Amino acid sequence: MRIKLDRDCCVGHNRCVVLAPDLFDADDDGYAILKRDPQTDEEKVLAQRAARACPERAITIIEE
Amino acid sequence: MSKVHEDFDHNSKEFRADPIPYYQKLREGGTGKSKNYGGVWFVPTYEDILKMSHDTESFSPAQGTMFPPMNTPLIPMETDPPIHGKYRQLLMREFAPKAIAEWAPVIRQTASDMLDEIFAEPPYDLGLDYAKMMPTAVICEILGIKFEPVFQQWVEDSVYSRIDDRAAAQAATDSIYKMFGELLTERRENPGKDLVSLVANAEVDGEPLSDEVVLDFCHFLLVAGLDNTGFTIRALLMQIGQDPELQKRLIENPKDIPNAVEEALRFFSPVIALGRHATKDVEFSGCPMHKGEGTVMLFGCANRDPKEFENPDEFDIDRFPNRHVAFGVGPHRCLGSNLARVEIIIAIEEALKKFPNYKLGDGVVTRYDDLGPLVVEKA
Repeated sequence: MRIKLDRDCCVGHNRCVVLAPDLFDADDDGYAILKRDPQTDEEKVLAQRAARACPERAITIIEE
Repeated sequence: MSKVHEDFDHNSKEFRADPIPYYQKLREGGTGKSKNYGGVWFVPTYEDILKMSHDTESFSPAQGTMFPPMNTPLIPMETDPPIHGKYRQLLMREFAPKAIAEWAPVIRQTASDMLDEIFAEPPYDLGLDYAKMMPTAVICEILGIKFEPVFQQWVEDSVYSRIDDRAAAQAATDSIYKMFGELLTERRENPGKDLVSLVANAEVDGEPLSDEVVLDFCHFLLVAGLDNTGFTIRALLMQIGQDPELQKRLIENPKDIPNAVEEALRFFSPVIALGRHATKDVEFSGCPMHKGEGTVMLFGCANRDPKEFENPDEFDIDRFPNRHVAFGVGPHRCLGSNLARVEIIIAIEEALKKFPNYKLGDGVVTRYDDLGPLVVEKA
């Protein structure tokens, strides 16, 4: 599973960072950055939740 | 055109006192035109608010976001690209989660001290003495100004009196501009780490900001940071006070407080509405909008839209996803949201620590129109 984060869409709601701090971080300006793709099943669930929680729909999950 | 929109006025006393009963009919009518405010379009659904907030080419905040308008422009919100991004960038870092986290100890101390004072002697008012005061004290720290009780009145007059007493609103706006105006020279010669110093010394495209723009910034920072945050603190303290199960859960699991805060932001929607103007003739959601016409996005209404939120009239801290638009959505979304969230979370944490099983006093009511008292009793 890969995470695609559209930085152009992100306006800094910070929902992904709160839900999955191991996968996402906020940069110094408050916009989301992707730390890494999920590895465990638990992280995959968190990645999916982060995608669903984004009000800008800036996060897409790519199943491989 | 649906009748419900034609007569609708988001500033009417009835709507302000309790907007919830209006929402279903407004959403069922979709986006529609009112005869008020020169014929504004009300935008009530979640889907339409997302669409309008993102279509910055057709809908601009630069001609005003409030109906009736404020006396002075709200900078950076009421600007268009490319200057909007440049103004916003001046403060992005200061309001990002990392910078705000550094304020957390100050916020916690402020909350804790206020609670100690409140619980020293009854009546214990968590509304006027806590919810209302805490964000004011915090924004004054951040702006580097000494807290004066009169700020509350200035902000309330500047925002709310504009609806029925323009002279009072103008006087309040003038007072705020005068106060910041007197600080400018000092903050330029002797800048501190406060936001007034930052804005006063800021440059955009290599040019310093004009005094006018600096003061517009300062005014909006003061206005935006006060009653919306306080309103949400009071509303959530009230919700907790009337729901013993929720109270118990949050005392036992403080890690659930941030979710409770998100749900309070959705459920009570402190900023009920903000608007735009059409920049051109445009067909929006089946409505023929003309260049220059105003639009009012009803955030509170969208936050209870059943197409986005299951059982929207239920207060449910386990709601997921909770993609509310309490801070707006899109490029103009609230710059101070990270600060507001931290303030509300800490305010609730501290109140539940110092006074865990508080009960609501007699006659405490839900209020949507202003930030009233919230008298509580010890269990």
